[in-house]
Amino acid sequence: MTAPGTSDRLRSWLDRHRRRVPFAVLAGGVALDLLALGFTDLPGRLTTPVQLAGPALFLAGGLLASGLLALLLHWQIHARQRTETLAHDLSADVELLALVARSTTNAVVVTDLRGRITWINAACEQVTGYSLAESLGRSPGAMLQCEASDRTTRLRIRQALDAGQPFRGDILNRSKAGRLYWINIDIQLLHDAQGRHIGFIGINSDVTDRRQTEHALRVSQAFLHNTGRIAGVGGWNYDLRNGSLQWTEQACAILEVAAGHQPTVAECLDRCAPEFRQQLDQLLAQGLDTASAWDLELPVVTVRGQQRWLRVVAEVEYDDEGPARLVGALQDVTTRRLVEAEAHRNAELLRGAIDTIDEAFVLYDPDDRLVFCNDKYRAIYHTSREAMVPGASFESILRCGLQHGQYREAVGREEAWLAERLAQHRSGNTTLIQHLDDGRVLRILERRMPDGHLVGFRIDITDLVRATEAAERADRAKSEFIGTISHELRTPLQSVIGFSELGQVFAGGQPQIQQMFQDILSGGQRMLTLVNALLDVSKIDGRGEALALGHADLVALAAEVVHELAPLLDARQLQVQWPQPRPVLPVRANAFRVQQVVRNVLANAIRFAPPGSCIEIQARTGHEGGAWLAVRDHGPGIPNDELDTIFEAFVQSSRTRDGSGGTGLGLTICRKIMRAHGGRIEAANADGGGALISLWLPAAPESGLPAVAAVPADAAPPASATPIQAAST
Amino acid sequence: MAHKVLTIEDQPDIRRLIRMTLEFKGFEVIEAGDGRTGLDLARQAQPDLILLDVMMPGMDGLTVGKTLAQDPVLCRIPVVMLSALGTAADKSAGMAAGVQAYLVKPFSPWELLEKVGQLIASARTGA
Repeated sequence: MTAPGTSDRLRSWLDRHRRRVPFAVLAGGVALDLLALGFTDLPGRLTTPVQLAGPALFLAGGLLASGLLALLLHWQIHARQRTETLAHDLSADVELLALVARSTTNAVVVTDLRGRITWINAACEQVTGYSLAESLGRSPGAMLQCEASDRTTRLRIRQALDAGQPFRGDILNRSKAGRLYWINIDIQLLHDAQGRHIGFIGINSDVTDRRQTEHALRVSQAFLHNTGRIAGVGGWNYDLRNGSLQWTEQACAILEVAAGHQPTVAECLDRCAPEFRQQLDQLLAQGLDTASAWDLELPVVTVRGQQRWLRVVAEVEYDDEGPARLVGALQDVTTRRLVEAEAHRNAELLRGAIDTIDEAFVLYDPDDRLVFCNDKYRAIYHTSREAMVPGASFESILRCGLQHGQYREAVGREEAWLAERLAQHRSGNTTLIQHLDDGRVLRILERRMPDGHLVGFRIDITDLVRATEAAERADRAKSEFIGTISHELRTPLQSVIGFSELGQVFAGGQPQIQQMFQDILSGGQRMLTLVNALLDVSKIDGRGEALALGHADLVALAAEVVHELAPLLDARQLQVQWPQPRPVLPVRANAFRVQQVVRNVLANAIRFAPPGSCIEIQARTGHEGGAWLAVRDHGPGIPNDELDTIFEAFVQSSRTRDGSGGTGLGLTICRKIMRAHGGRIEAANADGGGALISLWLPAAPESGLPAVAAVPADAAPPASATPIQAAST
Repeated sequence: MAHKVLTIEDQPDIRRLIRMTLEFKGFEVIEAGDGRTGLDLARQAQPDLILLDVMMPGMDGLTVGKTLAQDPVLCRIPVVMLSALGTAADKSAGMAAGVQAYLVKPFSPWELLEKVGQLIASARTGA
């Protein structure tokens, strides 16, 4: 210990006196020179100049040598001093840097050339959870990066390090405890004093918060964008101080400008319909003054020339100095506006149509208050029109009418009538006839709609009712007239027929007088036939007497008539040919009347069939169901131009205008009878000649009706003509 | 002794026709031109049969028929109603008035004689 202590003391002494050493060396050299001269007997030798030359040369050489040595020393000492100062300064810097590296909050990692950790700082230990000892020799990537780390970033780091290049970027790391955190890494190359690349140093800062904030911002922006896109709502922001505008992407999309375009106010105003420009301009300008929110719908033209309706809403945002911005949204409401316009147009159209129609229309709300009525409604109820204001209750309108005696049925029993009418009205499904004080008759239709509104129609059926009444009166009068005339004609016929029958007997053996009475009798009977036919027509026209219908077999009914007419058939040697086998054709019919038809048709066939010929009866189920029966003769047939008219009253066929005694009513009665059954009678000429008269009756329904005997409820008098006399064409 | 038939009929030609027909077969015929006279005559003459027209001015045939039917004495006299009204409803209205037969005009004289003969015969046998 002593020696080093001595040595250190010596060194420190030398350090302190280093500058003086060259001067000591120089002084020492000069001293040694002078000493050497003294010892060589200097005064004796100094007598001659030659003797003086030797010591002088020695002195000079000694001085030179001392000077050179001192100079050398000074130079060396100075150089060392400089080096030491430099070295001292340098080590202070390194220590400062190390201190920084150790104490910085950034994680610092130092690796060798192969990327293996050689040193980490305390911050790095804290962030990663790995101690320096655990980290040494490991690769930071393998130690800290995980599946969640971005593969591309990892690859770029690897490539940069392999190429010996710096890298800077963000990457997701996982700590030893499993915590994921984002770092920004700055990897630089590490060189030694000779400039050789010896490794890497990475300085990492935790940017997790920043990354999370950025992510949250991106998510919320995406959310905003998506909701805006889905709802068609764009956002905008207007700086009230500098007048700048900002639009969101969706706002740009709505106005069809490039995303990110930030328009000027003037540009926006240009997009507006001219009549809205001033208003919008004022609203934007008012932001500063009134600081009020607004909500406006206005038509615009997009950049691509599309016409759209926009709803623009704005609110004012404040900062410390007062209103700073208008922020708002804009929404494409074109479709809604179109639908509204359409609905409005439809409503107008409907209202116009309702006003135009010739029927009275009224609408009451679910609380029975008048919503709307057309002019015709007011005109019909002109007595109570003053009460017809929207919102008036149905009852108040009725009461107004009652006060003025508008409802004919209500006179004298107003309250009872009102109660009945209100009950009908509230039932929501009314059809009734109403008589008004002015003589008009209304059909009232009221229907409740699903939403509770009540729609009412008033149809003026005055003319219809009067016409119907007149027709009914005329019909009754006609029937009465025909009935009376028939009766008044039958009574005198009693004398004609009765006396001529008696006269024939009383004439005894006088053939001429007998013939006279016979002619009178025939004439009387022909007239009686006609009178009876007229009575039939009036009965069937008279509506009062519905035909009594029952189940019957049309073929069986016809067979009875054929049997009844057998004497006439025999007289002309006619055969009746039936279908084989004879079918059964169930019908619902009045047997007496249907037999009357068959008798008439068959009698005509008998009259026109050539003697000895065959009358064919066809019978089958009709093509449309029901029963079909036809009588065909082989006579001359019916002229084609008469096929349609032979069923008309008093139209006699040319072929019977021979005084043979038809009434001209037979087929008319037949048609009336068939129609009264819901059936038909038709005339045609058969293939191969001869008339073909077809009857069709609807099928009998399943339910059993009583069979109706061929005895009429309204049978003609027994003195009615014989079948052949009833026959006519 | 001839059977006595009372004809109540407002029309003279019909009355004449009936008289000629019945007298031809030997009946005694008495006549009335209206309902009230007919009723009086019926009470007075007590005929074997009455022929009664329906449509007459004044008291009509239906009323006369009902009065006859309700009369304890006259109700035994058979009545034939004569009418130009030929419907079923007319006939049942006539029969409801209490008459025994209903003939629709115009009838044949032989039909009348047959009906009158039948009724007198059955009245005589008490049927």
